[in-house]
Amino acid sequence: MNNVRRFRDAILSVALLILPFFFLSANLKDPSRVGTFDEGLLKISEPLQYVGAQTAAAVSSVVEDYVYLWEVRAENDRLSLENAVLEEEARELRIQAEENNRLRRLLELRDRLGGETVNAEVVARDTTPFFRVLRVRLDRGQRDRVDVGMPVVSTRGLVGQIRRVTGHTADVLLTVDQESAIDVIVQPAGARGMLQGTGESNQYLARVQYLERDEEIAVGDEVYTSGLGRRFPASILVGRVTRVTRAEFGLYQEVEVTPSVNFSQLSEVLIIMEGSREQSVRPRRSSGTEE
Amino acid sequence: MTPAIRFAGTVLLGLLLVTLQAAVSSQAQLHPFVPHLAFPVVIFLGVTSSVPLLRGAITSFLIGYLFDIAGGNAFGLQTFVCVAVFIFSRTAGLRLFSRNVGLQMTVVFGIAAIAGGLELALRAIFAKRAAFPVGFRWGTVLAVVGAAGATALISPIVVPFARLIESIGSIRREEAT
Repeated sequence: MNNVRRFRDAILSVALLILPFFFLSANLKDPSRVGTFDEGLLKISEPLQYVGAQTAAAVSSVVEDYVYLWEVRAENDRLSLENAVLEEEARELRIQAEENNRLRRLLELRDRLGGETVNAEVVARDTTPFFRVLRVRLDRGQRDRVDVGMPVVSTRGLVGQIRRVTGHTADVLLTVDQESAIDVIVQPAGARGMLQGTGESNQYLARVQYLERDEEIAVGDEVYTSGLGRRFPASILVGRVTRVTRAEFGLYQEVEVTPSVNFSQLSEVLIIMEGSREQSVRPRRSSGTEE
Repeated sequence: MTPAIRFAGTVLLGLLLVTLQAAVSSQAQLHPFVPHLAFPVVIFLGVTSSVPLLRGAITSFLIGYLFDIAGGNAFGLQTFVCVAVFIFSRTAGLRLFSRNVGLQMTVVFGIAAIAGGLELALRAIFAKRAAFPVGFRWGTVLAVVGAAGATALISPIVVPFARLIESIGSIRREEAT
């Protein structure tokens, strides 16, 4: 029985070998030489091929989709990394552009001022609790030229005056310090007064004193240096009126001024030397927030 | 029931290998080192005496058929070659195959090279116009040897799967005893 089974298996196996051989001969033969037998074989093989091809295509599609997704993920990781690098580059370029703008505005201010000025970089703020002071670093070779009382300006307006020069740094007394007193004109009324800092710890603020009651001062009016006393050049923007208080009695009205310069964002300033004192400077209004 | 599971498992493995080969071929240009993923399985069936002749032949037939379908070959080429490889492995009685991985790769390389030659011979017989599709002499030799080498290299990865499927029943028997 076993021998019969073996013989049967061998015959069937050989048949399985011969069958594709015939299919193959029918498929690979010169089309002009296909006979009736080959034609029959081709007819049998066609539906088999079709079903097999559809199945293989379906499974292959699943595998290809998986491979595609895997590639997409790798591509996604690569692009994320590239994006992070580009974002960092863009951030650096933005910083450089802002710095360029700042320096360009500073150069424009220097041109408008005329005379002699010295560049300085802000290195510290409010070094003492009792004074509103900025510390600026001076370039080598300029320390001997900078003196106490010299005006300090930024692109947005008046910053203050030099209070002390030590080594390569100088301390600037801000316009909002209680010790600061500057002769100013409130425009458009043209009223003169004395700007004095309030020295408040929670905000930068100053008041214009000795403004007569009948002067037409309104919120939003601009305050400029008058140039009187020759300490500051005339027409440097100091700030804007943010509150006007007229008491029932008394000769003067009280006007509160918010400085045009945002001291917390200052990074570069100009120190005005002797030759510039006579210049009339009216800073251009710019839309940027940076000093 | 176990022989049916083994048969279905091996055919399924063949189907997976076919789709894998089709997917890889569509993504990367491997010529002349194009492995034939089915040969190690077919050779394993041939050299494993516990696999009945008829089941091995039918499995080889189906795997070859799947390769014909997926590879876009002339219908019957891989089917014939796979069955021929199976019968050759069975009659040659290559016991070296199961000794170690090195000998297994050597056997696969040899049979894959013969199978490559057989494919070329069949093309030469039935399709005289395109008997040597990769160029005469060196191009053909390189294609045959490269494909056989690549097939031998991947055999240690593929054969364990076929061996695992064939051991399904015996593992159960061991667990039962």
